[in-house]
Parts: sequence; structure tokens; C-alpha cells
Amino acid sequence: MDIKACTGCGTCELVCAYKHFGVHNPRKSAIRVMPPTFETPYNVPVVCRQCARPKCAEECPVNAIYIADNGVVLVDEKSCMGCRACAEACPFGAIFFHPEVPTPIKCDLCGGDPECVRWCPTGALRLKSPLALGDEARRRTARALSRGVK
Amino acid sequence: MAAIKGGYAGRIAWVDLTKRQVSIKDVDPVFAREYVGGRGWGARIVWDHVPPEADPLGPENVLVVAAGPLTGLLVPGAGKVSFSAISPETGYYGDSNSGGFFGPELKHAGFDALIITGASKEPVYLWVEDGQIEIRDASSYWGMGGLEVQEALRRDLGDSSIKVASIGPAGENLVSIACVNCDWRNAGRCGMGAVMGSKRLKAIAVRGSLDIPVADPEALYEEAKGAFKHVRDHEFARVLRKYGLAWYIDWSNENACLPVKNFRFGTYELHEAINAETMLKRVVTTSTACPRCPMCCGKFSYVRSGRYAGTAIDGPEYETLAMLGANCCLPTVEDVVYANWLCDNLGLDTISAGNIIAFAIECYEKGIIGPEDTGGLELRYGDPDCVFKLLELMAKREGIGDVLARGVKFAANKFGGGSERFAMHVKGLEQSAYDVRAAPAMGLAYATADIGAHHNRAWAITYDIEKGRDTYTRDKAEKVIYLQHVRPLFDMLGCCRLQWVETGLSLDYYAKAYEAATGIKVSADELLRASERVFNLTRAINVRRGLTSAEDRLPDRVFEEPVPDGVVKGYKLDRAKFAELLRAYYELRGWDPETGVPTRAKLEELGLKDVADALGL
Repeated sequence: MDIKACTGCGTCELVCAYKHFGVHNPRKSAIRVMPPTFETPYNVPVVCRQCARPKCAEECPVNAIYIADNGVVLVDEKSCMGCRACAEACPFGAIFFHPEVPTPIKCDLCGGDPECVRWCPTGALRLKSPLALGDEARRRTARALSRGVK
Repeated sequence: MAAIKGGYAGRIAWVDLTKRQVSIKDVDPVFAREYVGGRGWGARIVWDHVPPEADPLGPENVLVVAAGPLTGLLVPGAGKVSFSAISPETGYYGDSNSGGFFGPELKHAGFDALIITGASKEPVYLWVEDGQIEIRDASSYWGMGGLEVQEALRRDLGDSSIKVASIGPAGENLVSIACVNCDWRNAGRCGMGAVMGSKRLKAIAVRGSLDIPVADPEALYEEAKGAFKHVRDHEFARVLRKYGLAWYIDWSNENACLPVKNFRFGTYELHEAINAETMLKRVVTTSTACPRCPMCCGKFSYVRSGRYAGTAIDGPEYETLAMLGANCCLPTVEDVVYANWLCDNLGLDTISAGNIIAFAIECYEKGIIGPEDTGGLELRYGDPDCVFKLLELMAKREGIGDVLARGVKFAANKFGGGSERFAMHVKGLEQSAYDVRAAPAMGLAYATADIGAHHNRAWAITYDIEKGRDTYTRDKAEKVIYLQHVRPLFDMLGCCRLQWVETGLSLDYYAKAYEAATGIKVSADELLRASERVFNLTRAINVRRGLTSAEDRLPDRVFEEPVPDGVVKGYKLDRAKFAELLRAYYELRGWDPETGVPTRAKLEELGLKDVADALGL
């Protein structure tokens, strides 16, 4: 996620809700962009980070949240009781509830090809393998350190 | 007529602030279709419900806050909401629109429009949520800045996702050029903030969780794919994505149409200090976009150090950079950022504010006013503190600020001494940031715009640059009329026009999007017809309020003082040729070539027989 590239256009919100619910309603999406404020002059997208030790799953009283084989954190909607403990537990605020939807609205990565990433007009949202995380920083490091080699 | 299947939220709320009553009505399908939405709805409601003699700042004026059928949908830049009323600046029909997320939120709360009538005795704000509207006490918010009150409301209501339209002290104090803040964006023009202030309406806070119905969501989605790709990949969209509308500072300077020192000069020697490159280098933290816009023409500025450290603002965009920056000769981009913040938080329109301040400074330079009029304040170009002080005095209506707060037309009448000749306004609305001395079509656009000298109706200057900067051919009148129908159409649909202007996204796309959203089959020509209907209706409102062709005029300066600099040095408009062009415009519009009043035949052709009857034609 590239915070500096995010413009706050909210296309991600709308297409997420459309993909999952077939409606035009950003409050039914699993991603939200926080607009700039006096203190934080950036647009900041908030979406599930697919934690390896998810707080939401820890706090779920009926163990409805689980990690699938591909590492995606998913909700078993049959056993979920809609208590909202997960939304309170998530330190990022990346789980959402809507009055018309009993279960949590949470990013499922669209099965591997996220709609939000496809539509993001500036490339602020990208899907990366955990193995590639930090790759850009490592390349910067490599460039910086190479310069010092005599 | 069958019910409409989508696009519209389906309900309009009438809020009577005198009686403190709210009544909610279903949208009438015929009305919806004939006037589309946004400014179109505003115009019809103003025509129907505001008595011709009503005082713009009295309880009889009606403020229409209307989104359009595309607002909030998957359409590029579909976030527009219009504020319409009789304007305190001109005394005629006025409207102003804002991008941002307020419009979509209103529709998610179940309303296409709020119609505010009467006036409250005490300060109030509206709380709008999912089909419910409450009129709430706002005495603790009265006096707050237009931006600060939004933060305060979100804090007190306990949700940062609430969207707010608000006014600052200028609106409260009935300053003619007061704007409405919609989060970081503004409905700046025509004094809609003063109309809100006259009703003691400090803010409208909205939270909506409802779906916006769509007749054929699949078709809308498929159309959107192509449209988004078109805009995203367009060459000029890339420029705007990087530089924002500030890019036009260099363009205007090159074409010598940048307003400098009250439209005396067409180029600014320090333009590089306030252009897009400099903004990017010094203050911009990120781009900002209206809902679902791949172009993101907004640039967010944050000053990290120095005198203005901590100042944060969405902007400045071209008009603000030109009117407060170039026109008042501010020396650095940080000065403009701070002036922009002051305007937004005080609740002043940056365009009118920059115009009026530059005018006051010219009057001071020429000795028409002196220190005895300004309370000892020395007025001079290039002095940021002078600009900041005048903004504050205007918002508070203190000293000379009380005169300037009523607009440049009023100030010129008050100051006299020939200052009327360089009071840069049409019908009382201060001219926006294009000098027209070498742009007859743009001059015609300013002279004939229903709201006064604003570029939103017809940005015809590119046509002048293409076809000749001193030509008055009939095609220019045709072009202005065409633009006056296309551009305001977007304000009716509830989306931004720039995707059409800058990337050539076709009108057929919008017709298809409208059809997918509403289920009403319509062609681009029919939509343009609706826009023509609205333009004739706003003309009728103005005629009923006493407008004559004498007010389809331009300031004397553009006919008398040649451009002293730049690529069009020596150019000025020719009165006789311009009068001919205006006459051609009336004829092409089907208006009386002498009086400029729409003919009965034209009004009937547009389905406005009742309007023709009311005008006694």
C-alpha cells in the first residue's frame, strides 16, 4: 500500500461493495480511505492486512475466523454470531459492520485477484506476496550501500 | 409516468426552518426527468417557490441542496452537489457546486435534495441520517470557522466518516461572497454561504448507509470500465494527476490571460513562484480526488516550516492561485496556501475575495480611497499581510471590510471616482481568473452567464486561442451556447465536467450511464435539451427579477485598456463588434435580439409554456 499515491477517490470502496454485494454503497466495502486532516495530510487506505496471528480470530468467541491454506484470514459466516468483537479487536479498524449485514465485512482478497487493486487508478493498492514485502526498501538499501563501495 | 428504477435516491426533504418542520416527499418522475437533478432541480424549485421580489437574504429565499442522478455512482468524478438560490451577490439566480463526498453521502442517507425554506431565529444545524432529518441547536458552533466546525461536529457526533457542509463567520455575517464548505471542497460562488447564514443554518451533517438504487448495475459497471480506462490513460489526465489544475498558471501566463493587479496585466513576473512545479516542490503532500475520479486534479498542501507552519489545505487550485496569488501579487506559494486556508475557514469565496482585494488596492493606489477609509491600513500589491487583513475585515465586516464584503459592484458604487470602470464583475459577480481582452468568446461567456462572470458555464477561452483572439465570428456565439449547455449539464447529472473537458470522455457515455442508472432511455441530445431548458429557465428567473440586456455587459476596462504585456500585447475588445456578437448570440438562442428575453416560441419548444405565461410574453 502506497499512502502517498492514494488520492482518496474511493473507487476501491465502491467496486469492493459492488463485487461482494452487487450494490453501490461504500459502507458495504471491506476497505476505507481516511481523508487528509489538519494533522495527517495524506489519504490513508485501511484494509485487512491478513495478519499471521489475527487479533480478530483470537477474540472471536465462536472461532468463526480462521486462516485458510493460502494465508487469507476468512470468516465462516455459518458459525459467526455477528457479535462485532472482531471489529473491536482489530488494531487497524479494518473490519466493518453494516446495519443490513449480520456478519463482518472483511477483505477476502477476492480469491486472489482483488477488485480494488484492479481499479485503483494510481497503483496505490497492490497485492504482494509476503515474500516480496520490503523488497523495495532492500533495493534502496542496496543502491545506497553500493555507492559506498570503493 | 412509471416510477424511476434508480440513480435517484427517490426522496426530497423540505426543511422549513421558520416552523421547524421537515416534510419528506417522493421524487416526481416527470420533474426528475425534465430537470435531471442538481442545478436543474434548483432552478425549477427557485422559479416555483421564490417570489420575484424576495430579498436574497430574507426568509422567502429558498436554498436547494441537490445531488444528481449520477452522484455517488461508479462514474468518474461523480461527487457533485449543487447549492441553488437567489444570489445575494447579483440579486438573480445563483448556484454553485462542490465536489467531494458530501453529495454521495446525502444520497446514501436517502435524499436527492434538501430544500431549505424560511429562517431560524437561533443557530441550527441539520443532522441527516438514513431517511431521518433533525433540526438541532448549533449555538455552541456559531462563530466557528467553516473547516473547524466540521472537525467539531465529527468529534461531537463521534464519527470521522460523517460528511459536513458548513459556513464560516463570513456566511454568518451575511457577507455576499460567502461560500459553503463541503469537507475540503467548496461551493464558492454566488454567496450561497450567506443564504445559509441568513437562515441561521450553520451546517448540514450527514451519515448514510443506504444503497443507491441502480436500474441496471451490470451495464453501469461495464460502461464504467471503459470510461475509467479512457480517463486514466489519457495523456492530459497524466499531467493533471501530477500537477493538478495549478498547471494552468503557466498556461495562462503564456497566453497572457492571467489576471494580475486587478486584470490590468496578463502576465505575472513571479508566476514561477506560484506555479505547479513550485507547489509540488514546496508544499504538496498528496493528490486528492473527488469520488471515483482517476484524474485527481486536487493537490493537498501542508506547510512544514516557517511562518505558516502547520497550515493544511486541499488546494490551492488554479483559480485561487490566480486570484489571490497573481491578481494580488503574492510573492510565494506559501502565502497563497495561507490565504486559501484563511478564505476557506472564514468561509469566503477565493475568486471573489482575490478580485475584490485587487480592486481595493487599485483604488488605494489611484487615491480613490485613502488611509482614512482603510483605518490606516496601507493597501499595496505583493503584501501578504494586507491580503490577510482584508480577508479578516471582510469576514467580520469591520471597517472597510464592511464595504468590500458586499462585493466589488457595491464597493465601486460606494467609492466612486471612476472605479466602476475597473470593477471587474458581471451582474455583480466578480470575474473569475481569465482576462478577456483578447478573448471575445470568453467575454461573451462571462457577459451572458446566468450567474455572472464565472467560467463554469462556458470556458470558451480555448476556442479563442484556437480560432483567433480578436475575431468576433458567429461561430463563437454558437460555441458559447453549446458550452453553456454541455458544461452545466454535468452540474445537473451530479458529476464533474473535467473528464469531458480535459480527456474528451464522450457525452454518449454519460447518456448511457444515465440510462443504466435510472432505466430511462435518453440520448446525449436529449440531455443537452434538458440543459437548454434549464438555461432558459434561469434566464426567465432573472428576467422576472428585472434583468435587462444592459446587464449582459462587460467591465469598461476590457474595452478601454489594451493588454500591456505578453503575447496579446495591445489587444482589447471592440464595443461595436462585441455588441454584434451579443446580438448574434440572442438570435441563435431564440431570444429577442433587442431585449434578450426568451421568446414564447423558444420557451414552448422547451416545454416551458407556463414560464412564458408567467412572464406575460
